[in-house]
Amino acid sequence: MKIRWKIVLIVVVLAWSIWALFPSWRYYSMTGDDRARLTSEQRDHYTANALKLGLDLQGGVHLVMEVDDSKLDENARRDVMDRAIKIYRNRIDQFGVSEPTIQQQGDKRIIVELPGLEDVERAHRILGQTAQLEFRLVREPDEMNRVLQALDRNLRGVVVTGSIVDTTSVKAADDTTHTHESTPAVAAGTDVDSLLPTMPVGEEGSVPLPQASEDRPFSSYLLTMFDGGVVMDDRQVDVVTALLATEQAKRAIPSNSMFLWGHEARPMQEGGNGRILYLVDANPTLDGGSLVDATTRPDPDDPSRLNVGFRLNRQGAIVFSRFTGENIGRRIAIVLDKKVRSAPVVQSKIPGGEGRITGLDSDEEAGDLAIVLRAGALPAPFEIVEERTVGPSLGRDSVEAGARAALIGFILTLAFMVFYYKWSGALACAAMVLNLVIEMAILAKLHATLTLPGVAGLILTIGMSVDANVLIFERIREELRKNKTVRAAIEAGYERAFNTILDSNVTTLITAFVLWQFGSGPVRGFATTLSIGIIVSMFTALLCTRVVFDLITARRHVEKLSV
Amino acid sequence: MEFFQTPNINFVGVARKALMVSGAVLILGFISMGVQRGLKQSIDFAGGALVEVRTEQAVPLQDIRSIVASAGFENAEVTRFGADNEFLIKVKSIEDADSTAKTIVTAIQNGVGEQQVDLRRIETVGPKIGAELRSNGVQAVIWALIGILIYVGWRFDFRFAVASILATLHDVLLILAFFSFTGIEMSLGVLAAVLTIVGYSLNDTVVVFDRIRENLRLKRGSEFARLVNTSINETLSRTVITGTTTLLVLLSLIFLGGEVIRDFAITLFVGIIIGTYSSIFVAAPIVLEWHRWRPLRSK
Repeated sequence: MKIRWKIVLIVVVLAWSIWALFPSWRYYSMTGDDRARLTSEQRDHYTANALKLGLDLQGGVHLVMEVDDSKLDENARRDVMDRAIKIYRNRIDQFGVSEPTIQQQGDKRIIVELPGLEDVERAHRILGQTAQLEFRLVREPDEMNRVLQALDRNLRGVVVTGSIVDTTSVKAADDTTHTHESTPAVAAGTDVDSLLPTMPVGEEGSVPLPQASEDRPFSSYLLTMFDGGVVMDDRQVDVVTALLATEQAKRAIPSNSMFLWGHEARPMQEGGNGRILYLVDANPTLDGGSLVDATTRPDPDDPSRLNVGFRLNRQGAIVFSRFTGENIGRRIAIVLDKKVRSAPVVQSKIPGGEGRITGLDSDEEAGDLAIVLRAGALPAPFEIVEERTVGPSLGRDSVEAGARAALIGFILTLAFMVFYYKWSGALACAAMVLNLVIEMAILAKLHATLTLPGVAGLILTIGMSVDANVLIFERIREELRKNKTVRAAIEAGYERAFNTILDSNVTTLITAFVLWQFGSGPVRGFATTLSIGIIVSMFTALLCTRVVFDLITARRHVEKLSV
Repeated sequence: MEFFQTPNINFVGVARKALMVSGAVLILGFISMGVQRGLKQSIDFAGGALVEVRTEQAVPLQDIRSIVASAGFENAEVTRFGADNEFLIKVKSIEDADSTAKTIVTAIQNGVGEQQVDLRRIETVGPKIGAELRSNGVQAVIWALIGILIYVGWRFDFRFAVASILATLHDVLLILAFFSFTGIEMSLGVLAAVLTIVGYSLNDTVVVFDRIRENLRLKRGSEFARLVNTSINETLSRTVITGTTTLLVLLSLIFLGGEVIRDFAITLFVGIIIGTYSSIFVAAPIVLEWHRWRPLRSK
């Protein structure tokens, strides 16, 4: 290749890089106010073209969710992921996070990234709920009594063991008619009491826990009746759940009924917190499929709080109307994700197909619930298996620290290279800067995300991209020692170093490729920048520096080379 | 400026001693790992919860410890993270990492009084994911080694490939020993650093092998041991200069790059020293010993 064409190539690549990096430079030099003033079109332009910062650098929530499709049939299993992704997208769009990423990983997982979001709690509410809304008839008290007696009979002598799981998790309050992984196994010889969480000593409002008696192994946990259900101490939810999961208990519960927990603990007059256990119809009267709209509205009893009002479609409204008409005076449980939100008494036939969900802790929670109900229920429950949240302050600190480390690293390298190789050393450092610019431009154009390990990869490239030039300079020195002319030494130096550079870079590329293949998120970011850096360094260290050497030696005869 | 004009250091002569030193350190490392029952694993691999918080004013570490302990996590690891008012809380091997993180955050918010608590980072990894990440990590190292074995075997010679793999394995094991001595936890970031060292160390080894290959062609008939030693000496300058620039950058990363990537940078720093050492004192001598056992026919 003629030297002129090499120069043209370098100029084109450099111009392209600057053009590719221009939006990033503009966007990241803006203040928050500047960005707020952008029109949505401009913002789209920047988000599409500027280098994207990873969640670890700008703050945000990264969640990995895994589907539990054990209860789905073959057909439903096939499109469960596509449907779930659509619903998640729907929810997140309404939630109002800019630039969310939702992608499938493997067969059963979905990765959701919400940049800039700080409130983990809200992320959980929006993504962690299945949002399966159901209406179930609550069994009459005498039916409940019969089941309790049967339970006492069947559970005599049964002891459960298992770990204490968090009472607020979905698992503990899961559908009790199905055995679940976390369900404690039945074993003899362990005392039930050993399962109970130890009470903090001297805590205010602490009340003694009811003890299981021998002849009433189940109903002795019962504190009182309330709202159509029985109330248990919140600390014993796990034990009771475990008992209900035993074979003996299942035989005591009629197949057309099931137990469901209330969705939260409530403070009791006697002190302590109670949770209501409801006995409901195993077949829901209606499910969330017939829901068409959900909005927040003030609670008629307490206007300072918000409820979520929902509306059913025409068919749902007809079913609901008939159902309420037939069951005046009885209770219906409004069940969300297998937990009973409330169980009001039907006062009259409800024709319009409208209802509301009460008992929400905050306006925000009400708003989020309305969003997930509107977006629709997930086709199967999803569990959050991995979560990484970075606050904005840490992200900012990481960017600053990374930039500072890169700058100082560069200065140290420059100083050392100039000290050791004089002008040639400075040339190698110029090639290194060019390398960084081109690499960033490629990252921006690939829409790659720059993560903290990615920054580390970039900084490492600074150190390693010098290697190619070091190899060349050492060769040139060797050739000069053999009393070759400067031009011949340069020629031989580049030629001989090439094989070495190629072999050593390919081995590094192999490891980078493997890293990319097996790594997840952050590790991949590192592998990406490392491999791009290595490839670009072949261009900058071999081609670009060579052009400069050739330019120096082409015009006139050079006696001495500054190397 | 030049450090090594025409160095003629007898590396090959001390190679056996060097191998013994390496062996001794490795044995110490294995003993240390045995005593501690393996390496410490971060929540990435063990599963669990990690919370990083920053309070407005400095809080005694002991206070945060007792807050976390009274929230029900007596075996949580609570450490300062960089500054007086920054803390890292880790709870490992728990089933419900999610609610654990939540409980800890609430406890600290209530426990430190009026001041604002800045939630810097929360990470929770389920036990299943942890196991997967671990097996992916092991697979990554194995596949990287296989890929390199094939490439070096193709470009050089089978025995060079085996020697470079052995040298790389030596580096990885020494790094693991280093983790065991210092208590650095295996995490995803540290794993990435280990794989980078694999790449870097090979890079170094390949440069030396490349010179041996070249000299085999140029200086036919000369004694192999001498040839290997000459090759190491000829590439010594490059080995040291590249190592130095890389270490300079890593030093800057260690001191200025922030707490989050410090373990990563330290691992790389130590790894690059080990990798440089091994390409001189381990990889080339293995080729030499092999040659003494069964001479290499020059191609």
